Amino acid sequence: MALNTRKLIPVLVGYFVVCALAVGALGWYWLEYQQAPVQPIDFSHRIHANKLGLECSFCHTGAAVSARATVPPLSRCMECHESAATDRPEIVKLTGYWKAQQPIEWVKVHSLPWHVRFTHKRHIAANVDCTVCHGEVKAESRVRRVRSLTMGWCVDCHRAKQVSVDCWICHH
Amino acid sequence: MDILKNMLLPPGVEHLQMLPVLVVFMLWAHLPFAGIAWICNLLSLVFWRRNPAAARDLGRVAPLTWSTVCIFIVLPLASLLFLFQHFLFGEMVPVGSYILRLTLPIILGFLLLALGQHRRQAAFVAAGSVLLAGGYFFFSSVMNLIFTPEKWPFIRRPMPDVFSVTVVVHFKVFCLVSVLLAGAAILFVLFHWPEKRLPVDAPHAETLRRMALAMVSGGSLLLPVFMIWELYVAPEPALSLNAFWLSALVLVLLAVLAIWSVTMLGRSASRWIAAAFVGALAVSGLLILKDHSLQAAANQEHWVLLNESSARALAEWQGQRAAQLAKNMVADDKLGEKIYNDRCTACHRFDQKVVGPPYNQVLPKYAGDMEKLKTFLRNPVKVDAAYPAMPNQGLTELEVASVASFLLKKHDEGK
Ligand code: HEC
Ligand code: HEC
Ligand code: HEC
Ligand code: HEC
Ligand code: HEC
Ligand code: HEC
Repeated sequence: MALNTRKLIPVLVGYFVVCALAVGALGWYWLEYQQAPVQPIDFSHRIHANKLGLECSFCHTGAAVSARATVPPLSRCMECHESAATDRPEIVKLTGYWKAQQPIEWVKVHSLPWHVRFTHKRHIAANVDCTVCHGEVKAESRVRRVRSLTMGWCVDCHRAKQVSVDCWICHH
Repeated sequence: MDILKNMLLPPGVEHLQMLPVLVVFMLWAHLPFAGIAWICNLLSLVFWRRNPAAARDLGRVAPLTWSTVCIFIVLPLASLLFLFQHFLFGEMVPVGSYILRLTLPIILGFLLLALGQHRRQAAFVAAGSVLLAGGYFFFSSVMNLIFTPEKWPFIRRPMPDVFSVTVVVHFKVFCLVSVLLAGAAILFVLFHWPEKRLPVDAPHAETLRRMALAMVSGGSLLLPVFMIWELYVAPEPALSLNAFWLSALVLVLLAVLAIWSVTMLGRSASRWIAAAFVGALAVSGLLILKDHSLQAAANQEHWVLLNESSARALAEWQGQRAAQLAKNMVADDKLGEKIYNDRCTACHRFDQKVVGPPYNQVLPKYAGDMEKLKTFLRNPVKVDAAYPAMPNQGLTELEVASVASFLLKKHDEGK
């Protein structure tokens, strides 16, 4: 019983082309939406937090005291960059913003939907390290999101630390 | 002991560069063989009663002897344990202990298979296969855990989350690759390998050939679905361009394998078997590389810090050693003169060009800077285009200091 399998070949080729398109589409989606976003100034935590050894709270002053960690204002950068590395192109750009008194529009990397209530203060007070939720930011030249920030992830930790998981705690 | 601690934990810089290569290599040494042995033994169970000759032949596709078990199973698993222990140094994830706990059931599983084939006991083969299925399911979950660092802080159970979709899909990929590989291996061993092939008139040859081809085509047709699914559910930080292009490469290979196997199903004899087997091995290698790329992307920050800390540890250790040597070392001019006469005069004079430049010409730039001369002597770099490079003389620290001091003194006297 010899099957005539020749006829199947175009079907197979079609199938694999569809699969290749699916991989391509996933790759394109990743490139377009999921990669670490490019920031207006190529700010590197690796230089500032690792090489220079600045504390996170030096710039993200809100983390320990309020809901938002806050990204530092330009004045904080200029404390050093009035004199440090002023000849580099990125710092020239930075000084340009400063002279024009124009805030830098950093692209948000982490964000939760509107219906979720999250506060940094309570977590920092409970000794949860920044790295648990943000990864080793100090090794990143460009901040990327390394935690899914899904509900399951929040709840996993709340369960592990025996914190309440009532809906109203996290939802408005 | 301090040296050991500093060099191994954190691992040394060169070691770190080798680490990814070794991980991939060890996985590749282990998983294809393990998959082939597992699937072939499962199949041999199917044929056990009905067709004992076929069952026996399937059992010898991936023979489990002392040497194969050591080379393909015990050695890679033991190495992986240490490699991951190094790789995840400083992280709160007990991957080493998971792998250790998995190693025993997996090795036991293979021993049961070997025993069952040897004694013709179906029960042993069945028990071994079940143990291996469980073992590799957990193995998938451990590999999965490695590229999902967001779970690490919350591991409470002794074993990682096993029933997530990602793990199940990952395990399915392992099973399908194993089926594909086993099909190709059956064809390769029983229909191609000159010493092991079946006699042409063996009654079960055609059954086995068709079954193996069906395995290759089934595997290569189903794999893409699960591979794409795996990419879809992979944690976002684990993705990188490497994962996508490696997947695309796998698709190309699978397409070729599918077309080959379907075409061969329609014929009465198979050709290009060896090429197909190599192709199947390449598919498995590329998928391991793809998994590795997920892991590397997810842990890239850890990797940066690990490299930094090991470079720091190394520099610290070298600093300590240099300080120690400098303390104990008094340059010995007699030794310096001896070395000069024994080793250097072959190529150097003070006033005359031999192989190397005359010292009177080159020493002035080192006058008063003994350290610079010592640095050159420890590791001669190319200086002057008019001369060949000076070969490293392999001097000890004391010899370097002595000969440097001797040369500078003699040079000063000559002035
Ligand atoms: C010199 C100031 C400075 C220091 C120190 C610093 N950061 Fe930042 N951080 C910034 C700036 C500016 C941004 C916004 C630009 C960006 O995303 O790269 C930022 C962004 C971030 C973001 C992303 C915010 C978002 O958009 O979701 C995180 C997370 C973060 N920092 C964490 C840390 C942690 C953790 C540390 C301590 C290891 C740290 N930072 C130290 C200046 C700093
Ligand atoms: C504590 C002082 C300090 C503060 C505050 C600081 N920087 Fe810097 N920054 C430095 C130093 C020093 C360097 C140069 C480091 C090097 O190259 O080794 C640098 C380098 C940089 C560079 C890289 C320049 C290049 O191309 O090599 C950028 C971009 C930058 N800083 C932006 C910022 C921004 C934006 C802020 C404010 C959020 C900021 N810095 C705050 C000290 C500081
Ligand atoms: C329990 C988890 C958790 C910890 C711990 C944590 N963060 Fe966050 N962080 C988040 C989440 C979630 C968001 C997104 C918040 C939003 O969109 O409302 C965020 C946002 C941010 C942002 C950008 C938006 C903002 O709030 O201004 C910065 C900057 C930041 N975190 C820095 C830090 C620093 C620095 C630390 C350590 C001191 C830290 N975070 C600790 C979860 C955490
Ligand atoms: C690493 C562990 C961890 C993660 C991840 C985490 N939390 Fe928490 N969270 C805590 C701890 C611990 C507390 C308890 C603080 C206390 O008792 O004051 C807490 C408290 C809170 C509170 C205040 C509870 C109250 O009693 O008012 C809110 C709101 C909250 N978390 C929201 C979130 C959300 C939203 C996320 C996910 C984006 C999240 N948490 C992720 C550990 C975590
Ligand atoms: C520890 C914090 C936390 C608790 C407790 C919590 N949620 Fe959420 N929930 C979140 C976060 C964070 C998101 C946003 C997830 C995302 O963006 O993918 C979310 C999203 C949702 C959504 C939107 C669905 C989606 O996938 O976008 C629903 C519905 C929801 N939660 C219902 C509940 C209910 C019902 C409970 C009580 C059983 C609850 N949540 C408890 C943190 C929490
Ligand atoms: C095999 C031949 C050979 C031997 C043996 C040899 N050298 Fe040289 N040496 C050379 C050559 C060739 C150069 C020129 C290298 C260059 O310019 O790149 C050189 C260059 C040098 C220089 C000058 C480097 C500079 O900065 O220009 C010094 C100093 C020197 N040798 C010292 C020694 C001493 C001390 C010994 C004995 C321990 C020694 N050499 C043994 C071949 C030799």
